[in-house]
Amino acid sequence: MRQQARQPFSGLHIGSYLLSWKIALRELRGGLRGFYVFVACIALGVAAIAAVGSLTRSLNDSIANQGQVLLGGDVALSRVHQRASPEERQELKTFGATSEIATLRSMARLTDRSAQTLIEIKAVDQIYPLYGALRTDQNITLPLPVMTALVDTILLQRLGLKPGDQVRIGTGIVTLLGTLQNEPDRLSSRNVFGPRVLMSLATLDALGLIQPGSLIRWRYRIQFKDQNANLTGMTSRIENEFRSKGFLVRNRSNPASGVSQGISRLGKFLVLVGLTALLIGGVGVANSVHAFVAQKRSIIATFKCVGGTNRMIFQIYFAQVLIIALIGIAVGLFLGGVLPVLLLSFYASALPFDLVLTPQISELVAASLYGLLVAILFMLWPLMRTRDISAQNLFRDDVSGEAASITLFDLLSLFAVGLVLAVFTVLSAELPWVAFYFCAGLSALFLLFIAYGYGLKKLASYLPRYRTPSFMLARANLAGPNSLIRTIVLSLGLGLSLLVALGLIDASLRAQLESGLPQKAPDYFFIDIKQDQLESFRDKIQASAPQAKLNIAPMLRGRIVSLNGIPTEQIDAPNEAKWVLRGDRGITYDDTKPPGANLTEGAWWDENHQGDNLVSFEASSGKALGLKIGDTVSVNILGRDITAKIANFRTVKWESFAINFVMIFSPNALAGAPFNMLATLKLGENTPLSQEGQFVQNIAQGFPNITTIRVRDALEAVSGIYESILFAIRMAGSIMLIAGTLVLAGALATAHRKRIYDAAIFKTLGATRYRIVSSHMLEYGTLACATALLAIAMGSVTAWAIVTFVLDLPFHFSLAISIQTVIFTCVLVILLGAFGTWRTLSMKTASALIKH
Amino acid sequence: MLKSPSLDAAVISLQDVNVTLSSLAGAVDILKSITLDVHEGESLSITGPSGSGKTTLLMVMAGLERITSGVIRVCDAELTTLNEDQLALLRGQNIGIVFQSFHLVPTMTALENVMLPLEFLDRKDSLEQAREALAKVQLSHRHDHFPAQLSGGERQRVALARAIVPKPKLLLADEPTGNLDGATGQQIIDLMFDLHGSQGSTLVLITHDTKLASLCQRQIQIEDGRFQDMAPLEPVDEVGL
Repeated sequence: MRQQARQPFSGLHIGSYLLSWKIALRELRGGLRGFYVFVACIALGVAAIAAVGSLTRSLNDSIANQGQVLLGGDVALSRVHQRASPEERQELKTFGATSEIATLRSMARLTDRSAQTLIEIKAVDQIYPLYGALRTDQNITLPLPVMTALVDTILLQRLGLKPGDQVRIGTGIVTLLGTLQNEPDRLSSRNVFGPRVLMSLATLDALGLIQPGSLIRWRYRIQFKDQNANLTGMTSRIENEFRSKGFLVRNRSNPASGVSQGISRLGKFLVLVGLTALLIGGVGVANSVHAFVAQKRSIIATFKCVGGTNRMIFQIYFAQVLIIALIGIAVGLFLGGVLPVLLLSFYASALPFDLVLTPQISELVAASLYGLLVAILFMLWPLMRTRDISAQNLFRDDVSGEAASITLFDLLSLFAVGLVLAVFTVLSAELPWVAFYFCAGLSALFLLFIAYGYGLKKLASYLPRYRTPSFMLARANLAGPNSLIRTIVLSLGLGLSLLVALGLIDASLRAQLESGLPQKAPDYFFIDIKQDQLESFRDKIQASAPQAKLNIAPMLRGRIVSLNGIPTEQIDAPNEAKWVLRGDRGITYDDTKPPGANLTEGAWWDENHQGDNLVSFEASSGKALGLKIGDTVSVNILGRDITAKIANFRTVKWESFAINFVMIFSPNALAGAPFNMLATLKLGENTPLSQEGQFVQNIAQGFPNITTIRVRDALEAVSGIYESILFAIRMAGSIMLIAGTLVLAGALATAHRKRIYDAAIFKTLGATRYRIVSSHMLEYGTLACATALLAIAMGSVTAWAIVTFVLDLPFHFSLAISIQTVIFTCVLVILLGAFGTWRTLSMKTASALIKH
Repeated sequence: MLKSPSLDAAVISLQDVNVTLSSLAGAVDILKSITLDVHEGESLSITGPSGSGKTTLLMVMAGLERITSGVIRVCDAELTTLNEDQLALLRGQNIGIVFQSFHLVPTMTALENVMLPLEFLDRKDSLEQAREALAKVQLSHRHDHFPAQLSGGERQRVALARAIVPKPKLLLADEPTGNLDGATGQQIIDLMFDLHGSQGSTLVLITHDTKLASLCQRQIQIEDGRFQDMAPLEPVDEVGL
């Protein structure tokens, strides 16, 4: 008895999901063939995000875990200019053992004064270090004997010295006992401009460098008596006690807040770049799934013939592609886990602390989620097309072709996945508003690139039909149904745009630093000129370099403690002005408006002004902090709070490297405060290097306490840090380009499978190999140039916006970078294309025709 | 022994059916004013030259091609009122199709291929039924072989088992021997007619082969989208199988 046929309208139930997974697994027996690019695209993006996330988290965890060692104590206090008084030191000791350290910049000179270099002195007491251990090459132990020092190897190299030799520092001669391998607390007192020289406080005392007003930072590290004491509570007590005395207080929970924040921010930025690489890889995912669905047309049609519904078929292929995506994610997580270990094996010794790599589950989960969401976002559209595959395919070639049917549900599904991805990105970002703009900008760029690709394809179809066969063939490929335009523009466009933008930002910065600076900026800074040395210093300069332009200003360091009576720790300053309130700022006073200063609001005070203390505030920071004329600013200088009214706002060109201060006080405000002078010197045009050296030596001989900083050297030191960051960003940008290349390689491989048949027909009709090759090269060249032009345009606009509005510098367009981009893109596209063309031509015509 | 077809119950009923397809070259009339009833248990052959519309007619009967005008009922369902998924379910439950090119799923074994329609119907006995169907086409020993490991004749037998396994009311075959040699083709024909007879399903056969067509109780010739000639319905016992 035949089973009664069911009503054909019965719906699907939950078992259909299990069935679709069962059938999907059967179908996957065919292996991953055709999915290598898919897996690679997802794996690359996930690996980049997982590696960056794990590394940054491990770096910050390591810093936090080694807080005591890196900070040098449980709590650290620091104050510029003024050493803690015996009473203050006594009070500190009530919290635990207290170590005293002084850091300052000075000059080390050969004993015959023939050469000198800038150094960063660190003078320590008998109990340093409280935590961790100092490592030296010669196994020298602390405390050091008086008039001896340990130095960075680089100092020996610069001055041509060896351990045991002597140098002049200040007014004394110091014997260099050996070289430093590692200071445990290096991270909390970084030496940017010169090599480290470690000595005892007794030695520093003997060098004559400790003078009233000298730029010395006094640091006090406390080792709690009770190691289980409440850290927050103890820190608050110390802060309440010492903050008003001008001390900055930090504790071991955040030993290097700037460094940790920098690492986090750079990490989060690199995660966004990794996400972009993943999104570019998404184009490869879409291409792979599209090709996969096309390849499965007859099976899908068969399913439909034997009763498979559209929904069931969608589920079957969704499950299959999801399994492939999970494989890609697994590969990515593995690579993302291995990469930091590899990096650590090369660079661990360069880190100023021990990096402990631990599995960062949250980062790996985040990377997996990114991979999954991007894979779903890009596989949905081609999988929705299974609905349009007709079962008629089994009987005949479709007469009308399969038009893509788009339903509101399709669009809502795509939008929903995109939205979840965007929300996840924004919520997991360090700066959510940056991530929001990133998502919005990237979506806009994707749409723009799609529109550009569409427009180019349309344009190609309008090209005149010249009689040149190569041109005709190239035009047909560009404008035809399997055109590569959109894929190439999308896959390479974003990565190239980023690299062009980075290149142009770099070029603008370099143009400013290298060519723009020497014209206006001083050549030397001199710090710690004592007031009684001023006249003789002027005379010496006049005698040594009569053409030189000398600019001198009093200089103190002080920290803003309140604005309009509100303590700074209660002020939520915008990001662009946070630096003004954080730490010490250089402070000066002047009777008259400095030449070149431009007042935007208010007026300068009269000469010999008496009465209220007045201050001139830098305009953009002042506005960002919401200050206005008449508001009060309290600054702690040398342990004393000085309050002044804002008399005017003035613009400062920081990049001029002239004597620039956020705050210039009226002279009455700082009357009686001990201070030294700061000087800038601009040598005459084309001063030879030998003369410059001689001049510096003359100064050194007369004024051993004065520190000379060559602007060019300082810039090189800063640009070293900048180069490292740029390198990290370039590396991340390269990942985008690798993702793009993978996508492109996949798309070309698919295209060439179709072109083998075309080429066979062309050859049958009499086309020579040259003809086919030249048509392909013409096509790829056009595609590459079109993509490069878009990348140059987008990269230039991005770079211009960043240079003009963020860096506030003049934008320099670089033709060289543009030409490099065009050449690079052409070489990449043509090389990848040529590989496919070679395969096309090497296929035997007869077998290609038969196979088809 | 074959059952006599029931003249009252039309498994397929087409009334004034027209199919016009659009193409880049303009609209093409594929089927023109087709009226036809195919009764339960009947076997019908449709012959005609290439491009005459016979395959389109089969697809119309299978609910794979939408008609432009007219009325079509298959297995008591008015096809024009059903959506794609309802048509798929109708096929799964009531229609078995045998293709010229077999169209087996290459990544599935013979048994899994045969199970597929039952699985789509969520039948719990799909494994047993599929084994039984393969036994009927004498392929019990080939359960775990993949299509690539089978000969052409074996593949078509698997396809036949897949078509009959849900015990459909209607069996549609499009040139089932077109890709097979003479002897193998004959085996498939014998098997198909045996199954048609034993299950009592209605058989509609598209073929170029007049000898094969003559095995059916009724033959229709189609040319340029119209029926040319219709042989009278004869008792099956007199067909002489």
